[in-house]
Amino acid sequence: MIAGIDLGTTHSLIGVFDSGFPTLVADGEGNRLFPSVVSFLPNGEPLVGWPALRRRAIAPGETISSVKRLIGRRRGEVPEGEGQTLTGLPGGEVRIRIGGRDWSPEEVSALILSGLKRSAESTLGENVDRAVITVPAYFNDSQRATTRRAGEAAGFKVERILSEPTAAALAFGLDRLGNKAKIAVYDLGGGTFDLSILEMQDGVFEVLSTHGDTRLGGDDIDAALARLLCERMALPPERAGSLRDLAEDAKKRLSVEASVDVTLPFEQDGANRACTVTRRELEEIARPLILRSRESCIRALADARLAAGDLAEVVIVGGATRMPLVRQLVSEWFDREVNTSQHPDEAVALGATIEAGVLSGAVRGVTLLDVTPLSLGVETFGGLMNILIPRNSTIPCKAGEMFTNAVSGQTAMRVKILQGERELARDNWTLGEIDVPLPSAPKGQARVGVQFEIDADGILRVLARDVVTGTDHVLEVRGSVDVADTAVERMITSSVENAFEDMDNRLFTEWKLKADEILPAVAVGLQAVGSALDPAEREAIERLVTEVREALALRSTNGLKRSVEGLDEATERLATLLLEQAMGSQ
Amino acid sequence: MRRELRGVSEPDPFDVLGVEARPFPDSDVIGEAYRRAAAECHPDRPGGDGERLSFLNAARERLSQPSSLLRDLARRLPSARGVSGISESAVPTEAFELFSRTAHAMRLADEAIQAEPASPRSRLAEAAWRSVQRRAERVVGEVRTDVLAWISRLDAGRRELDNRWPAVAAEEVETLANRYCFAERWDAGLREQQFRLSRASCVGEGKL
Repeated sequence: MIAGIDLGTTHSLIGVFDSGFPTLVADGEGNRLFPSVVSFLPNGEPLVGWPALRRRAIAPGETISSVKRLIGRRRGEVPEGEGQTLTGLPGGEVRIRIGGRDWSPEEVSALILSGLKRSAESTLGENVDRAVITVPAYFNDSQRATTRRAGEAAGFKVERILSEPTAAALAFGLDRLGNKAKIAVYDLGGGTFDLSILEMQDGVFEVLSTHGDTRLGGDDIDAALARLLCERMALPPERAGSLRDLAEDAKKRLSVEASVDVTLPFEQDGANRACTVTRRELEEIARPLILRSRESCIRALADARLAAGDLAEVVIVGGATRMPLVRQLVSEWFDREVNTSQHPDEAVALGATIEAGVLSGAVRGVTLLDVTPLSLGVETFGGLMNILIPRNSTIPCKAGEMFTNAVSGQTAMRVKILQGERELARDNWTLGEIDVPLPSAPKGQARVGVQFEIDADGILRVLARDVVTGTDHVLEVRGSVDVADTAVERMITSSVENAFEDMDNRLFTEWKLKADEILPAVAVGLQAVGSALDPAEREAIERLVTEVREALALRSTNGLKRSVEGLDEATERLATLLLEQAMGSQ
Repeated sequence: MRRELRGVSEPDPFDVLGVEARPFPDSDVIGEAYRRAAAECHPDRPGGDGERLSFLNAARERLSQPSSLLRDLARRLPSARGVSGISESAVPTEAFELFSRTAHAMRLADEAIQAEPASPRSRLAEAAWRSVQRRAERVVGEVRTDVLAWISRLDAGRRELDNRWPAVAAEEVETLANRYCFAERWDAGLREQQFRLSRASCVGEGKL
């Protein structure tokens, strides 16, 4: 039997196609949600799901949550998590230390998946050994491949790695197969965000473009709220980690109530701690986080060459879209009521289950065509990224590249494989390196064709063609210790050192930055709209400009502060005039 | 270069998709043929063929862009010599002024994007940058409108070729393909700048 699995940051779900219907499987206690949490008992035995979640409150240091944020990532890329000790080399795969043993995110995910498998098998009384597993659309090759390996380690034959918003679109569109429409799926989950634009026609679900942020979700809002609670209850900031559950609960209640009381019982000093949070306060801290998703919406629309008005529906899914502010902002951006017909927690799992039905032949007339979210390329001379497969190419797809020898008798060439949208190779994600074997020949004469293939799971395979025999063989993509990661590490260390710099020096630099910004702006402003100012006003501005310049020359922090602040105030009207002129000229 | 290299190893895109070369297929014809064929060979289906689907994807890509569509058409003519790609051909004389304006608009947009204050410390700096950015937006928009107008003139030429077929010289088709190549490139570049400018100008609120 093939299962559909939504492997979520905070919760997972599993479903099967049962007598013609996609059905989500509940555990013995009737829960369909399965916490993506693993807790290790002192004897090393792992607990998963609800027991692990319950243990998190008493043993946070022995419990791993939100492991999806770490999957397929390198140490240098992830900030230290609260309460979890991360280990591993800066350029190597990240690991989590618990009870003297290092766990890879792959192993932890495999524990969650096998927990789901056991739970479903005991409910169904049947073996579940094949699976469709969903991942965020914006997951790169390494994150997808690691998820697939985790599925295999849990005892599944992984039939398909499916993008979450695509799965949600399938759940949305299953009873609308006859329609021809373009839709957007806005998927804000516990830890990741995706925006996909799809076209549905004749039973074909085709992704036109996708964009996202694999580190943005309800988790971030909980963390921000926990910091606020800490402050309110006069607790040290390092306690924020332990207030996460309390914050999550308060956030959920604030989706329906205007204000809630939060109580933290049994503090060490014997007193209960309590405070009140209003929905307005929650929205104030959540707004900047939600706004981060707006750019992905713009990017995906631009890549699909569509305007918001071309979309028939904007479907929202993911637990975090229950927040009224998310619904309000997304409605504003797309200028319409969002479609809330799908269950926020279950749509993705339901879609994965439908895909399981497609694969088993139970569902006919449905075809999914997805895209690769990130451009794939190789590093060329000069450290540039040479794109071979552009982002949003329909998968499966392939591209060939010819390599030649730089010197006579060279036997192999090392090529770095990249994923990302930046011009410089080092700004992109390094998937690994391949060694392209070269036949012995004079300089520039050897030729080897290398084929890059992205399969229907969005996972890369690299093949080299042997010119003599004409056969293809797979080249291993090896993870490389990334120089850029070491550089990041170094940057972090040096910025800590710099923090102890002389205070006055730092203040002066801060004000100098501001002066460097405002002086050219004054010049632009005076030239554009200066004629509309009173002579006295203009004179005041010019006098203050001179004062700023003098203070800079004298390195006087106080003088600089005074004059820059004065200039900021004196140019208030100039700014307004300039802004009006800029807006009027569009 | 790479596209040509890909083309060598791939069969004719018209054959792959099973569409007639004449009249020149439009996006509806290509889309319908593609969806039918993709549903048939999709690896989700028993006996599916991922390799065939990747050929279908490449073929659709080629036929969806007028430049590569015309190149594939030119190959079917007896006198075809093959177009070597944009890097080796000169900007067409008729578009020389447009070329220079495009280059100017691209640079203006780059400058405006780079001038963005990291975190605006004063209202004036914000306003100054915004006026630079608005100007770039305006210029980029104007030039792109003209590039699109050029594309519709090229479209008229393409229809004319279609009607005259097969009484056309391969050279005519190749010349038109080359023009499209430039026009598509400029349009994509300007579109990207428009996106970057609008992203920079978004204060995070309001319609997309």
